[in-house]
Amino acid sequence: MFKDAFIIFRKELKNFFKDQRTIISTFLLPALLLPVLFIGMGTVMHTMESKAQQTTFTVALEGNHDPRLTTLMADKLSYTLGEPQEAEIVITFPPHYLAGTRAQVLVTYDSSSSKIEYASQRLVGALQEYNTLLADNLLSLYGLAGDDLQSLDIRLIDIAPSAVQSGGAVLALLVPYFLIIFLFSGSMNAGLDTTSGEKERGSLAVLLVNQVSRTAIAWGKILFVSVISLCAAMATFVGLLITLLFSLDGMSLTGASTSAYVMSGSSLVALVLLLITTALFAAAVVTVVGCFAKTVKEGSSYIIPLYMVVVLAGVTTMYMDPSELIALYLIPIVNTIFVMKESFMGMVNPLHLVVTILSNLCFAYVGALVVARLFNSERIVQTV
Amino acid sequence: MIVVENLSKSFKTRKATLAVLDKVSFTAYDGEVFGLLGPNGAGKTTALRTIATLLRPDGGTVAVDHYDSIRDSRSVRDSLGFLTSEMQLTGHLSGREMLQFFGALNHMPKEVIAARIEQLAHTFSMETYLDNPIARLSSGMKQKISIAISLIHEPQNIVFDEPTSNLDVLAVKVVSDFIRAAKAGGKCVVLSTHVLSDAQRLCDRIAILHQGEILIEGPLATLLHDSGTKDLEELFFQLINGK
Repeated sequence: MFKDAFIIFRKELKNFFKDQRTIISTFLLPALLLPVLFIGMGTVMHTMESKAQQTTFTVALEGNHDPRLTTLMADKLSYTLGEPQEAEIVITFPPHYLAGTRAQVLVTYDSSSSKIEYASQRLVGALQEYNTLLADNLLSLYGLAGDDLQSLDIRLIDIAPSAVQSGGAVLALLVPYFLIIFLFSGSMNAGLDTTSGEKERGSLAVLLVNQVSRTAIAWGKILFVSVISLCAAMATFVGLLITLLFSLDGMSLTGASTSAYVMSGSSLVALVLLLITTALFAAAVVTVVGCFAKTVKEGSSYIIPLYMVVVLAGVTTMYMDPSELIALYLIPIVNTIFVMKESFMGMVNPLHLVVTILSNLCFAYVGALVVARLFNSERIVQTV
Repeated sequence: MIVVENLSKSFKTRKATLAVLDKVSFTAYDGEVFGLLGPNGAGKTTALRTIATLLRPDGGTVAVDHYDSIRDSRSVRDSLGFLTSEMQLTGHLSGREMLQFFGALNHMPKEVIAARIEQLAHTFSMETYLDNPIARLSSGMKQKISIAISLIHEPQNIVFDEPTSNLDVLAVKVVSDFIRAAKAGGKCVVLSTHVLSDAQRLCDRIAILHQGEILIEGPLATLLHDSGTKDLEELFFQLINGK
């Protein structure tokens, strides 16, 4: 049976990889999407900040012309003093303000301009330093320094595994979500085309009038969809690695550096097993749905709600820590996301991994049985 | 040889059960072309799909070379070449690759597949475009490849549903010549077509199916003589309108 399934698998794969447009949309776009999105946006933000740093702003300073303040402002920002009407940012101290007295300071700016927003934040920083300076002066009158008010020296000691500290937590947050999303979206096109698409084209009837068992046809198609969804997920993964490894300081939206991150061999094996079994599960689900639909369009309308469930599972678990509740590892998608998080953080629980893999395989097997049963029934040809 | 006896088939819809075939019987012998004719919705496609083991009869039996379509479905498929009118070949594989695929599905050795492809390419004049992607071929070229796919395993029995649809005059002649050659070679050919002139030229015997029942069956010449009609078209409309 598996020899026949392999014949189907090989033909589908050959047909798929001969279509350049499909290759671009399934593999190249997911690989490029994240780097372009994250690094591109990070670069734009970085460029805008650089431009803002080189710009000389017009600032109006009312009620206080303390040279210590203007010096601190000059350290933070290139500016010239101007009248309030022409100024981009206006700093207003109360009338007759005396340095060191309690007062409310207003910083008026236009947040619709990102450059002015940047400049206002820099000026707020200068005002805070000025505030500290004034406080130190007051304390010095009593023979005290600012540090004398700090009686506790608080230090954080992180005992998380090295994988977490070197960026694994960032990966655990983002990668499972994107992998699951692209795993499913990758299987959708291929899965619908090979089932409802074949029905629509009338080629499924001819395929069924042959010497191969219909169960072998079902397995061949599921295997094909699994490989495509796996490749789509791997393309996403590569894209994500490019984003994280090549993002420069201030040029990435992910914030944390992950360049020091190293995944252990066991975590990598766990990740590969998870991806393979989840791809099988996704392929089985999409193929079952495709078998019920008469056309690709109808199949798409069935798949979209399922896809939304997957996205929802990805979003809701994004900020969750892996659960200790073993029953959760029986639920596909949720289990994969949790164990992927464990893998990236270098703390894979073998029981969670085994339960997840078995659960995914069981669901995929049941899906394959349903597909085989549909292929063996008249239902599949009544719509051909 | 294909023997259909008292074949009944109905489909359940949400509102009702639709009887498509009602105790249909006919026999197509080796060395002849049997025409299954009828207007749209008569039940021709259902009958052909039941012969091809795609549908299970509700009542009656279908035997292909004495193999029962339910008990020995795989043997039936082995000795049957099936072409459906709805097949629209597409994709990026070439005609040769598709033929290789279907040859493999029929468990044929590679060298036998290669030889058979050359033979079919010559028969249907496909040599010039057999290695081009199917998506770039004309509908007539695709139809020829579809026919070749149904014949790749050299079946003894051939079931063709509208084989000349989408074909130009020259291609129709190629297919007609093949059907005659298959008959001369002792094959059993069941042909469903709405082109009555094709049926008159090619069929030795015909059955006219209407609303799931066989209205008439027999050698074409005998049927024309007995009914006093001059050609198949006149006979066809006489029967359909009379019903």
